Amino acid sequence: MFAACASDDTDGDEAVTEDTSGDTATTMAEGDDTATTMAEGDDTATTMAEGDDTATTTADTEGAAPAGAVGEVGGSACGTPNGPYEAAEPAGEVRVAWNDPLLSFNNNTTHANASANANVAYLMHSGFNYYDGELNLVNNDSFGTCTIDSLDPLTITYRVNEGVTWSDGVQIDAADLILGWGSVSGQYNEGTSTFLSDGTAIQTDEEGNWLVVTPEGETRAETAEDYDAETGELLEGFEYVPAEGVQFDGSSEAYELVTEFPVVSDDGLAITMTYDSLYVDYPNVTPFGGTAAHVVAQNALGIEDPMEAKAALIAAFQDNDAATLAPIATFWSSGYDYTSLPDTEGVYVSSGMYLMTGYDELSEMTFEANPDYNWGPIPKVQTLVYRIIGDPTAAVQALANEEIDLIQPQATADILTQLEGFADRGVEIAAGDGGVYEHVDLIFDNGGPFDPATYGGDEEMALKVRQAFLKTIPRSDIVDRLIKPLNANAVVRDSFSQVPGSPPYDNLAENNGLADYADVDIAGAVALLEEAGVTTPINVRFLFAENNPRRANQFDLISASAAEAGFTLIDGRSATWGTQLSDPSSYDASLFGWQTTAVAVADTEANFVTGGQNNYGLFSSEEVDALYEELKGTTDPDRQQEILLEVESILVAEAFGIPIFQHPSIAAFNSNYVSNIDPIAISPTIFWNVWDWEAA
Amino acid sequence: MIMFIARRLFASVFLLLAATFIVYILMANAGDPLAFLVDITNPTQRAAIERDVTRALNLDTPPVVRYFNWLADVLRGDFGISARTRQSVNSELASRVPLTLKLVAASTLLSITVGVIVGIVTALRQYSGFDYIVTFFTFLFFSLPVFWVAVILKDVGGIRFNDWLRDGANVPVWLMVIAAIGAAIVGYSIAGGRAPRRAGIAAASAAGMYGLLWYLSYSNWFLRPGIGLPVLIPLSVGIALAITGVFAGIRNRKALYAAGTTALIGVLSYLPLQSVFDRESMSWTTALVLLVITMIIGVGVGYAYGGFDKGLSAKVSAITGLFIALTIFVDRHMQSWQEYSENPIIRNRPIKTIGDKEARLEGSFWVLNNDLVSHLVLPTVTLMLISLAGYTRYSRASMLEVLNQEYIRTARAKGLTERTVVVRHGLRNAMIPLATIVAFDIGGVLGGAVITESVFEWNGMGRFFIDGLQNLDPNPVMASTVVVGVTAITANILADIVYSLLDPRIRIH
Repeated sequence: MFAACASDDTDGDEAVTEDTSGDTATTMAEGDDTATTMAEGDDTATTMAEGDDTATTTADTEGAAPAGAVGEVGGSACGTPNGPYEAAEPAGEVRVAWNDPLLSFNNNTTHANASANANVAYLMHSGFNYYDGELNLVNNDSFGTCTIDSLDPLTITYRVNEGVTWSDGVQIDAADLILGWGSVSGQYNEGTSTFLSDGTAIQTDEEGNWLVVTPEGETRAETAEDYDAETGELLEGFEYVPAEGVQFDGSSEAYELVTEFPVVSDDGLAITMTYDSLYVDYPNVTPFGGTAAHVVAQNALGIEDPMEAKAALIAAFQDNDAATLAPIATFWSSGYDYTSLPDTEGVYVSSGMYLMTGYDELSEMTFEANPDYNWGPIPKVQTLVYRIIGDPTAAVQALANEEIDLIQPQATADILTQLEGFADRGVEIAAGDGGVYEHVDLIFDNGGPFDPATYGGDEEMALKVRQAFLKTIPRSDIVDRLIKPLNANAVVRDSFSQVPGSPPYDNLAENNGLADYADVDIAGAVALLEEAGVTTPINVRFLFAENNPRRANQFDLISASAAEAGFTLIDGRSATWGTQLSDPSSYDASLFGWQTTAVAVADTEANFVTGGQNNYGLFSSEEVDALYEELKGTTDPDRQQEILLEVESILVAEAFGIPIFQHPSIAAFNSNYVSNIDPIAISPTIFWNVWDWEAA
Repeated sequence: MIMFIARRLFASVFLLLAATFIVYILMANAGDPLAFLVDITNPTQRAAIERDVTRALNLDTPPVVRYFNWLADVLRGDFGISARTRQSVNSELASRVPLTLKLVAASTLLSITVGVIVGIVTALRQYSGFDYIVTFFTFLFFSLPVFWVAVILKDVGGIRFNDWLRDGANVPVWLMVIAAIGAAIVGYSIAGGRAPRRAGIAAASAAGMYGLLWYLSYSNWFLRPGIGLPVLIPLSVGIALAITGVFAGIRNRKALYAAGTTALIGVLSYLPLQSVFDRESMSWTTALVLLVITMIIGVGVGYAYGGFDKGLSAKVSAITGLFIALTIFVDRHMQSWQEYSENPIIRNRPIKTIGDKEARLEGSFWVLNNDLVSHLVLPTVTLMLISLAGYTRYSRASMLEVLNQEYIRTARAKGLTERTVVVRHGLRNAMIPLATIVAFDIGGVLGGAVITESVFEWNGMGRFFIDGLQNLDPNPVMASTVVVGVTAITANILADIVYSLLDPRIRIH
């Protein structure tokens, strides 16, 4: 949802999970290495933050709102409306395993934004939109509609249909949408604050320094002298400043742009939001977050009647009533964190397909189909058992022993072999692309071999060295040897922004120039180096994750190939490579993964623009910067694609780096117990079509 | 004695301090508990968590100072929070310790029972085929890596065994033959006397084993296990004879009659007991009460027969009662096995490879116990393999040493029966050193639980430890260290005390 990173995510509850989670997801998906996981995670994370990941533009193009839909009621401000769903009679039971436990029922908070939490939210909560199997954004118009009232300024009306209720019978309405927006908009948070280990919030200054009150009564930022050197405790007489104000632990790049209080419709079922400036990935963001306004207000304010509670909540946001918002923020931020079935029933009130009926401390959850649910795809499975299995081998054996019907373990050759061995007992494998892609990045500004400064500022010379290096990277060899055994359909990825197989991918891959790097070209590389007139061998410090066998294999392949052209790769494998990334003085080229967590247009920005948060290589191109600026103001999907092609062409021409492959992902299921498993690359991966699952 | 305990406790405190200090410093140098922060998207949030955890764990102070801060908190009963989840370690411990206890207790008790019996038998039949076979296998299992054994056990004992149950649970002929040969070897080795007699016993064992397996297979016993009155009656007689034979000798008629009477009472109470068992209020408390009643009856019967050693009769009678009670208890579980196995949640695959229970399962005391057993069996066997070798070898060595003592020769010289020599003079003395081994082994089993819990997805202490270690998260690791350390040290002190009680030669001051 609008979770942390708002920008990228798709909407509210459903579709997107992101970041932090990302890693989790990644983990699963990717398989090979634990280490990687984290690692990638990180990047990912970063990514998200800025909103830039690799997302598939494609989808948006298609799924997202064409500009022409302005004013059309139920138009595609949050994906293509799906229309009515087929009726179904839920029956039977399916058991699915995930590697991490649920920690919070509100995955919109920053701290709980993990795929383990997002999966559960996806099962329990409906929403305006979700991703389908081709990563198109689909508007669940049985739940509600999103109408673009105007593109300039961007104004969207979100309307929840009448009869769409929480599982306690309370209608979902504008109050829930106001909470969804207000909690992450950032504008209600007072000052800056942080949380102590005991959960109390204290104030900080703008830079995040903690504020202390000195014995003299002065309030100022802390200094080292305020602390006892031995114990690390504050000295006698000093105290932190309690942040008693409003502190929502959530943020959204999109909703920070909606500073005006949304207009609540007369019937109380719709809100109309006006963006201060265009947010180009607006279809991905919707204001329904799966947290029930009446539950939050009932618990935070002690109001019993749900309608009164809702009214109080809307009023609090509308009037920016800090005294009322403070407890609301506190409950919203921390009142949903549970590792077993909560004692407060409202916390796990459902708005969607499934009701949670059990959560055995960190180990197993049980869901039953929501009997009242008719606002969206109807599930065909009555009971879902959701088990936590951390160890991939244990998950595979539990699948074989029929304790579990569906798993998504790490995609490693070992796991795949084990799974294939169980084919005779009905175990089937759904291999495909995961959400992470592997790539090599070059550093432009560290005095290394790819920096013009090394050659006295000769841009041309540095470019030739970069091109020569990229020509030696054996991309197809890497894919054939390391990826195809896991995912037979894997291809070399020829785009910086698109997942192979997505509609715009083919156009980008053909025209962005990466096709020239399809095969290793040692002769061409040698020629380029001769043209440049550099002396070989050229030392390249190559940073990648330690304890990651796949990356180590890639390093060996790249190293052998590059040596033929005169590059000497210096093995820079490191356990702390994630933090090292942002210190370009320590390496010249890096190999790692970016994770796609949502399908958006502008979310690759931070990777490529000057000073972008994920632009570790310090690449800088005024053209690219300008193109992204234009992209952020463009609502025409065709033009968006043109811009992305231009950006990619520049990246290729400048030898920014090179993408290699999409990480494989493996889902395995017992076809005797469940069918219609069809995972997608991004969260909620295996769960996206849970309504299609059928129990045997 | 009190001085001794005080001294040991005093020393233990320093031992624990040293151990925790070393582990703490190792953890502090192992890596950055905040390394996971790079995963966090939002810079403000990242900074907030960093500050939060840094303060909570005192990460900005030198490790030595940090250790004493941590120690001060622990002495106040606060193990702090996990850097990764920022959950209280105390609350985690509360849910995890019982799970680990269940696992460790089950495997330790079984290991001791099986290990000691096998060890004694191999000592009495030193250098027999049985001895060599046991030695070979205990060492083999002992040398195998636990995680590998666990995976293989899951495959064979879990997945394939369940398949076999589902395919009708027919024992294949080759297995019956192998089992019969095994029984013959064991029978031949264990039996005393001359070769023809031993050969006869071997043949009888083989035939018995083959016949038993054939019957079990034929009657679908593995799908619908049970003992039932027809088997209970001869079994009770056998138990009475065996217990009397070992502890008093068959020629002690009073003991024999007492045991026989208890056995009769046991058999007669079988049917009435079923109605007690079927009550909804059946619980472990009821089971314990019934056990106490059994023992009282046993002792009562023994005394009722009177005679000069009514104490011995009472003991024999009570032990007989205990075994028959256990048999009836197990029988009742077996009666519920099919109900358990056919529950849709179990899917006719009763041996489980993950978890400690089926949380959704509802049913009687018996069904739930069966669930416990079906989850415990594989991890318990895995853990047993670690300690079984130790118990077997130590009890064998100890028994052999004792049997070579002069007082054994003296006992034999004065014409005592072999039974009296072995049981009264040999066994008791041989058991003394085992007290130390048990204490020693507790530590090993707790260590083994680290891997076993991870592989079998038990959220116990061991898992807590290994997860903490992998996350470089100091507080969970330290909490586990303290719990394990205290357990191991307590076990050692207890062992020393028990030692002095068992062995009058040892005096502790």
